[in-house]
Amino acid sequence: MYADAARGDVDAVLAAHHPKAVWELPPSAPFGGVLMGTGPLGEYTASLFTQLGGGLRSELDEVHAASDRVFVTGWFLLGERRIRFADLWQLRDGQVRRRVLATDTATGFVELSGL
Amino acid sequence: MSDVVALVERLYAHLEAREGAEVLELLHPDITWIAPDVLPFGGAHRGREAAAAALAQITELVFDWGTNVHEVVPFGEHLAVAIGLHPTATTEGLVVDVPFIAEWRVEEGRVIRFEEQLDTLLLLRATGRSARS
Repeated sequence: MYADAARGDVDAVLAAHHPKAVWELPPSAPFGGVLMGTGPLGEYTASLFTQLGGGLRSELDEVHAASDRVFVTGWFLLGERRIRFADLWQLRDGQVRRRVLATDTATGFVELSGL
Repeated sequence: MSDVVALVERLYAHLEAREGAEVLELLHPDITWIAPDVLPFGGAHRGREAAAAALAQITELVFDWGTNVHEVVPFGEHLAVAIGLHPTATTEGLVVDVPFIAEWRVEEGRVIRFEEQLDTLLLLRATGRSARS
């Protein structure tokens, strides 16, 4: 999914999600808050990729899996900036049901947030 | 409940109760305590004393800081990930919930590494602080 996001491939990102998947994003991130369903997730992702010039590149640091969870740490790459993030994914039957993302919004998203 | 989850839950209980000595007891002497660089208490703090100083800084810089842990998820015997909210008093006297994900690594029954990611912009704005450059 991170590779799909780097390419700006919204459909590929969404293909891994349950239709009622939930993303819990930092409130200060662009369009931050809680998003539910692949419709809103698709709109959000497409808009974010557009603002970022085509996709969201990242460099993964660690990936841990246990039971139905996957924990990922790494860096979002925005131009010259490296923004630390932690992602906790919950899956069922091979589909994403829930994502909780925490990231350093003060470093990464001040301009995009419009604040 | 796994040992690592029990340890992390005990730590949060002591943190919430402001029981500093009990918190320190659960930290490995060689702990690395990491907070986002932009925060006043950010950076990598190495050793138990440095971690204690970072914790004291949080209390000093953030007027009222709590932790509501929603879930602690184990990843094997040595890693647990906690998600939740830090209720934080704003300069206007309101309270905002700052979401966080915290990574706890345990060695020899004590925390050897802690790293927390949180909505730094929300926290800085709430507390009237500037990002550390």
